[in-house]
Amino acid sequence: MSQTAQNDILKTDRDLIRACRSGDARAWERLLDKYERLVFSISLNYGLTTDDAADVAQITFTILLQNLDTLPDDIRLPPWLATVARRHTWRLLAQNRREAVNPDEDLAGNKALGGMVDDRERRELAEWLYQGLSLLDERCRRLLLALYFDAEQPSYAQIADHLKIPIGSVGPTRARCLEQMRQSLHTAESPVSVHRLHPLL
Amino acid sequence: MNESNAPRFSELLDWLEGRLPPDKARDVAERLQTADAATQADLDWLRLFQQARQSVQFASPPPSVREALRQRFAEARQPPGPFQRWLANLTFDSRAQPVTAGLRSAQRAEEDQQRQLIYTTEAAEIALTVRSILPEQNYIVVGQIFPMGDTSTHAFSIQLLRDARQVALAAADELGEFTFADLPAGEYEIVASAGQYEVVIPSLHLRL
Repeated sequence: MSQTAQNDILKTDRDLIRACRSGDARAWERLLDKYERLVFSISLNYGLTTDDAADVAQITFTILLQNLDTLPDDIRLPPWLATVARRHTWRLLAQNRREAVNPDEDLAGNKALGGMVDDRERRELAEWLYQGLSLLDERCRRLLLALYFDAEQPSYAQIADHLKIPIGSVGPTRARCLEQMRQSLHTAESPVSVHRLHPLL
Repeated sequence: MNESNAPRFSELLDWLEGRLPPDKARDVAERLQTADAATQADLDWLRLFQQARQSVQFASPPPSVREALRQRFAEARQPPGPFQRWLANLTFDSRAQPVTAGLRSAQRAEEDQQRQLIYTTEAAEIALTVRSILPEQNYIVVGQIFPMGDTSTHAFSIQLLRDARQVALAAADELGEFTFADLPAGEYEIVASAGQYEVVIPSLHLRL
């Protein structure tokens, strides 16, 4: 992604934050639409139950709300939210481990995710995906989430209808969005070494 | 390798996802055998993406989260009005109850590890259960807030302070329950806030 496009995303979040400061509830809804799912998923991919991940999401956005007036204008919201969510996830994980009668029980409520990777690698992949998706414009993020991460696996027709785009454009747009994500991750400061994740690269 | 013959990114994606007709898929596979490093890197990146999407969850939180956050925003960003701060009074302490004659020492020992407290204001009541965690001797505080008026329990955020600094933050659930865990012994303050008022427990002493 070009620096201009990245700046456009920052400008959008900055505008939303300013609108929230003025009490604009629609701006708050837009922020939640953009980042609620990503924040919730961070906790899920660390192994929290749905209920615990929901608590972390609620706490994370409550902290955002409490800090709205003091956030710097150039704040990069995705990593800020991720840091807060991660911190509270770790705290809850430590608390759950201490309270578990059987240390394996704290995994019982969690969905078994992909036997292909171990926990640490899965978390790193989640962070990598999270960063990539957060760097996309909203149109691309919504499309890729619908195509690749919707448990109901909607068809191209359903996605086109939901996103109000021509069905014939879904395929080519998805390729452009993935290419955009690849370039964004290449130019951004990534916390995750892709080479460490994938030994063939 | 003639760069113009290299599969485009979109072709690689379609090929990887099995969306190409057999003859086109074979063509891409053949061209990949002599692909340059940039094309190979694109393919590897797409494979990593496929691996990631198969092993990572992206899900939406329950609707109750959005409802709670909507309400919290509405109450936090309402036009300024009179803000009320209620100092809670301790109206019940299980340790202050008289010891029943003949109470066995084991039962009393259990009570020593757990303590119930109730704090009351005109705006809300807060019940706390304080338990010690052995052998670390740290504490768990499980609370429940009961607003007197129309304020939803979901709207409350609860701060735990020590020496005037926030050490933890919790959100009350739909039952008004919240938890602070792994607390070392010491003196704490609890502030439960919702919109235009807050309830303050000025001193909660966790002691060994």
